[in-house]
Amino acid sequence: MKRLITILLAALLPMVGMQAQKAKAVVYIYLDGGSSQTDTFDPKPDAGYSVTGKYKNPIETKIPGVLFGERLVKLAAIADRLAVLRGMCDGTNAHETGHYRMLTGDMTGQDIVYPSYGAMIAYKKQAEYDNPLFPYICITEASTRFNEAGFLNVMFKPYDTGGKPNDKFFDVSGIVDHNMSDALMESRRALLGELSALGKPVQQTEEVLKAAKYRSQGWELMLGDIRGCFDLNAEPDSVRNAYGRNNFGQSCLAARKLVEQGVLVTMVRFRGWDTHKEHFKRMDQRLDELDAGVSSLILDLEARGLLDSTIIVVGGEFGRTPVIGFGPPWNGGRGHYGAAFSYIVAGGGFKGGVVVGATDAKGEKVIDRKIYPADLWASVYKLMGIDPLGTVTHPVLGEIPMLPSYGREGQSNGMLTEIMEGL
Amino acid sequence: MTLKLNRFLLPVLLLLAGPVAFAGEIDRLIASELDRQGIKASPEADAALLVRRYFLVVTDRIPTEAQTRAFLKNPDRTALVDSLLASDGFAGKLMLKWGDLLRIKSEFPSCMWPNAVQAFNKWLFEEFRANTPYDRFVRELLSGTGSNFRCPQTNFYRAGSDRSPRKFASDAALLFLGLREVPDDWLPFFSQVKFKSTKEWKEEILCLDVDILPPEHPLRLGGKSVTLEEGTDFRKPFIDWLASADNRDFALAFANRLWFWLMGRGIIHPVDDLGSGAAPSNPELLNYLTDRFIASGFDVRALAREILLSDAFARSTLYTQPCDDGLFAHYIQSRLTAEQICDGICDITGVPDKYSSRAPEPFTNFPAGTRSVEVCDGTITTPQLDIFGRPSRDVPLESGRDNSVNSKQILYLLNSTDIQEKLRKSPWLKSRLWGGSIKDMTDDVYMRVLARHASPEEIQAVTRWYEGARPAGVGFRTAAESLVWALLNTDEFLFLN
Repeated sequence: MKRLITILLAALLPMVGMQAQKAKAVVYIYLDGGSSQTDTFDPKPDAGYSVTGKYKNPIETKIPGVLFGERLVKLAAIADRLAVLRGMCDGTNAHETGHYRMLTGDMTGQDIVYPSYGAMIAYKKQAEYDNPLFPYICITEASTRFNEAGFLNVMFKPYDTGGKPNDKFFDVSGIVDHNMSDALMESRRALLGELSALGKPVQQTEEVLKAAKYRSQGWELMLGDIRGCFDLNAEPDSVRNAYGRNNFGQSCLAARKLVEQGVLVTMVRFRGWDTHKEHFKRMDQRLDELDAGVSSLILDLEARGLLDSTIIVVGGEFGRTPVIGFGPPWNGGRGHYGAAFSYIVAGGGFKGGVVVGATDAKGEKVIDRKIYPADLWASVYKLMGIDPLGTVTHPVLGEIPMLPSYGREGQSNGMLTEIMEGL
Repeated sequence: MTLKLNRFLLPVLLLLAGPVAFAGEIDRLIASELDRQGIKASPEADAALLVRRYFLVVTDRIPTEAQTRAFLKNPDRTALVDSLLASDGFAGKLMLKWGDLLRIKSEFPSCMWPNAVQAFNKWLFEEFRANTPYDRFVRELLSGTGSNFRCPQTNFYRAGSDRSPRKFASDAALLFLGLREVPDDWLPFFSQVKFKSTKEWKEEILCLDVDILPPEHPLRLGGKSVTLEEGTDFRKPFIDWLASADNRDFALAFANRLWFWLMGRGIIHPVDDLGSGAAPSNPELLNYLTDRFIASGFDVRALAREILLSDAFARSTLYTQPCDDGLFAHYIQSRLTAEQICDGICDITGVPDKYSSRAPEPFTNFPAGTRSVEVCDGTITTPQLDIFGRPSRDVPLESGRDNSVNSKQILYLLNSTDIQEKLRKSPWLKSRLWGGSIKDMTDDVYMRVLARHASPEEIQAVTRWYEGARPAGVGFRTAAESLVWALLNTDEFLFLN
């Protein structure tokens, strides 16, 4: 019945002139710690060694006249699928605040902690999301810099897979544990059943009934077919190698599998971008992993016909100081920088081969088209069929704007309509 | 006749009796309400359930096997309650509760940062350990000045970026009176509070801006008018009024809150929305507790003791006749809190959780064996604490703690890497061999996980299961692991019953 209604609605919506939603899933590659804009998507070769450091030779991309950092070879080759956001800014150099602003889009500074983008999408789509897997999954562990559920129920927090995707077995906490045989799990299940019946009685409250329901759903996840979507060993070696045989690359592969499984929001939390020290040494590795992982994800989704319905977002809580700290204690590091940084988005209705926004000669200041976190998320929400001007229910305050910074002077500069198809 | 005695004679008697306790008065007041509504109270829970309840409610821990055995041998409730209330466990519990309400947290949005968090917690712990009278505690909490490291209570004013008089007054109104709205006349009392930074990382000095002129008109406060004088601490008249024995609402709000912490539901519920006009489910009971609290000189431990020794606290959670929870005809069954579950699993398996602070760099690791209730920083957590609804300390409301059941919690208990690893690594399971006796093992595991003996039927069931599983390669050690796993997944473990 539900399906029938969906089909009917899908057929009717275009007729009444409403925008049918393009995107069905979001994958956010979160560069935790903050990634350098000048080493990635906004290189400044003319700014001199104090800015470029050893990355002096940025490369041509598929977008004529647009350069990427020299290590992002694979992404440069598919830049026609990417929208490069060079005007990002969130106005803070503090991790915890940047993290909050970037993940929620809220820059109002009021005394309300908003849910993150992922919790918000899961909340807005809860009525139509019909999938045994959680709507918002983090590979492998969400940050605890702030409470991602905000004022919503704790169930909207991301589900952490845990485990290490590049290990021989990718164990997903609560669902897959390669040390446990199915036979032993079944045997334990039988033991639990018997002992539960013999134990001290518990008043059958609603909560107790819920626990029983979740237990039986849990067994389906743990012993049924769906867990196969976490089985990276089922992928051909050629695919696994293309993504990169490291935890980040394999996380991107796992993200693709979750998109195929219909999961609404997947975050791949890529740690290690807070490079105050040993910046370039660490970047050599991180950038190669980023390049292989993200480019493979985009091409793989495209090959499977899923790129049009999947939004990819890549970036961290802020950028990094374009001018390198050569003196001690940094000895060649980059600090936090929230005034100007870069993101890339792709798929799900975002146009490729476009640059939005520009920074000054050193990449220190946005000189054209500022993009605030609220603008990014308003665009994502819109493509996901969620009205960014809509409301959300706060347990004490009632209905409040879901994206309060959107449309506010100094906290928003409008939706990214220039790169959104059909708008 | 009993009814009349309650309503008309009791206040008179109280007035005459002063601080003298009426043994069983709480239960008499509950019984008279139950009688009136024709509801039968549930019987007393058995001793094993009680010992678990006492430990969990008073100290947030499950009892050890030795503690359970000692109580089952000599079920002296008074002795147990007295020892638990005098223990650091109870001070720790209060520190946790107040830490939630005061939003003690290093990072966003409180941004108190680690040094202040440690200092504030230490101060609170000492206050609770000394059983400082509640009125004095609140006075001290609100009237600090100076460095937030040296005068830790100044951190009361540092939770969050909003440092307006309205915020300070709202926090005071909410925490100490249960009011969600604050009259404009209360704001000037907090108008002098200012902060100066120092060269020390995240140190701040709370100072009073004495150049601020008092309002020209007198301020309305609790039905009286107050005139602020230039050059004085404007907070003082407010604090004097708030934490006074004449301000009955102050005592009532905490008596109701403490009742909620121990009994699982406020007499007025929720306990932090007393201005909404919600009626107490048993007005005489709330009046009695308020009177007792004031008469004792705001002795928190004494009030807790009286509640914990009541029959109402000791009742079974089982009932046949559904009735309003606010009548306290049965003890209210609830899911164990995040800290109780996570620390409990560490205690049972003998494998502690690890906690570390990312700020300031380099990261600071807490000593091995730190319990979640000792961390006391909303920023420092584990995935499992989050899953079980530990408050993120963003709001000063009791609803910030979510004790409802969700599917992630159940998956965590059934098959999380954390649980499986703890069972595999458990030094307790490794050290115990039980001479290969399934019976001894079963009884011990029941005692450790559920704080009770295994029944003969349970021992039989485990034995039968083991015999069936053995041919499939399940050895004794795996059987013991499996039994711990199974009991951790029962409702009997998950719920406080």
